[in-house]
Amino acid sequence: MLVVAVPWYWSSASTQQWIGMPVWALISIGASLGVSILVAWQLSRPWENEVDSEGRDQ
Amino acid sequence: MTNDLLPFGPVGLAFIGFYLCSLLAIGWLGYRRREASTMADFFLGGRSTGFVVLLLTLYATQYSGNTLFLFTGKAFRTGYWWLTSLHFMTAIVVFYLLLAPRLYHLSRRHRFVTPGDYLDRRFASGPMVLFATLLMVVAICNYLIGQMMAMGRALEGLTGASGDKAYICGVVLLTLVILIYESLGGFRAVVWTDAVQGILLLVGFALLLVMVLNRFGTLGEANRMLAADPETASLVAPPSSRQCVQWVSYILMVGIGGALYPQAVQRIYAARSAGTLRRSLAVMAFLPLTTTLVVIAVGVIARAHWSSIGTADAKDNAVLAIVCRDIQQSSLLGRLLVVVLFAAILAALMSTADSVLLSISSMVTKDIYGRFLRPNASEAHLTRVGKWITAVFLAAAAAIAIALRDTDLIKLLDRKFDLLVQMAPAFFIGLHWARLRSGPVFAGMIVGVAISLVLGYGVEGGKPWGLHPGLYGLAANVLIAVIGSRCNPPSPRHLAPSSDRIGAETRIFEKSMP
Repeated sequence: MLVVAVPWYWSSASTQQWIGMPVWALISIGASLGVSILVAWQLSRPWENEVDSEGRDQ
Repeated sequence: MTNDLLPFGPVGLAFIGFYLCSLLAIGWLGYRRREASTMADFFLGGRSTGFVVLLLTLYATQYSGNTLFLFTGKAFRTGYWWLTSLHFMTAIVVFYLLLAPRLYHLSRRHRFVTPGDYLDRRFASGPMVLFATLLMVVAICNYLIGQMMAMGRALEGLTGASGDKAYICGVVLLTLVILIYESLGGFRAVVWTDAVQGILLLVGFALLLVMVLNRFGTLGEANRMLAADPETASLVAPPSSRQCVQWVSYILMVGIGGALYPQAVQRIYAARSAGTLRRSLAVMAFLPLTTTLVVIAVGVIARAHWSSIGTADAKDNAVLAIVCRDIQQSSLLGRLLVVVLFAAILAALMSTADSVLLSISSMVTKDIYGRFLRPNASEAHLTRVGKWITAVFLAAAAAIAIALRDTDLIKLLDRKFDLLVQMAPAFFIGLHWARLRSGPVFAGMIVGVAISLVLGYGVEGGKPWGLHPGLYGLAANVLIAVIGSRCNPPSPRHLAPSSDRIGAETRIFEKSMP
């Protein structure tokens, strides 16, 4: 995702726009959204030792 | 073009006054809800922070006054290049993933209060804990002073009083408010006020976007205007190769450093449960899209509208004030909305300052005073000392903020992350690799800090080849820590489960493995 998010593969002369936004910026923002979704999915699963930690708190 | 807001009328000042009084009331509620005179209760709220409060305190602490003031100015000056801020704010949550699961588990098992507690348990090296604690305190002290200077500047010119007087009154007034609620309620007061401030911030960002779109037009129009002007076309063009290197540098520096903020680490300890922490972080992963992206849009739209003023007339932290003044002048509703936005700006500054202050106070009390000066002191004594240390640090920070009124602290603030990232091997590698040894980690830390400071202050521009000096220091730091640990495996004595403290680094992993 970092590879897609950082726009190293675009020419500095590019002027393409889509819905009023530079296309490279839209792709970069999309990659950031992708990272957020991946992180949230990763965090939706219990961590190892989670049951142990919770049990200790009780 | 003037940078000051129009002075607030009685209604505006009453709203700000009500907001500040509500913070004091929350401090008193925190005092009433205290459960014991212990460090864990005062500095971590009894480790009982629930999902909503944890999310809002993480949010309010992570997004400081810099996000509103400096980020808008950066986007104004550099255009979409500043999209890197969206990525580095997201990267902080990514790096949390490497840290939080094990650190949370260990903090419950060993009752950690400060980041130094983890280092002591993991590496059992007094000098290293002292060095790391001083490093963290110095790094975030700059941050505290920076927030207090921004508080003074935020109130400057607002009441119509002369600049000096308003600045000093602003610093003193807000310092007193923070001191009262933090001394009364400790961590509980800080996170509850953070919750109010977090909500205000969310409302503020939404308001800012609506006001700017309504007043100046859409982002698409701004992009077209910028692209059509040869002087500003580069602001919407893709960054050059060198600028892409700077992007990566920012993402690594702020991502790693932001996850290692002591106040952020302590919020991991303070979560009521692992599930609570997981859910809060999952939502945090999306918040850069609702905050950082908003201020970038505001900066870009402002630049399209005011490209004539150029960048020389507009310092980074003045752009938002220029935008707000224009909105104030546009209508009565505009004036009222700016009052709410101003409260959000105060919220951003105060929520970061109070969290940083409590974190400094806990580290000085527990990791320096309690560990080295009074090792046998009771929890109640340490908690009392902690409150005094809070007052002393806050008073000193306020005095420095007043004395340095006309100084630019940006250079000092830049060094904050250079220092903080040198803790990365001890945390990120130390949590996952049992063979990492205290000696090489300590040596790596010292070398990393030295390289960062020499490059940061000795090289023109402070960023050799576009990379932050902290990354060069971190590379050397990691190499020394890893190679040194591989060449110096734990001796059988260190592995003995009965050894008192030296074997801690091995035992901790035996116990934490599933």
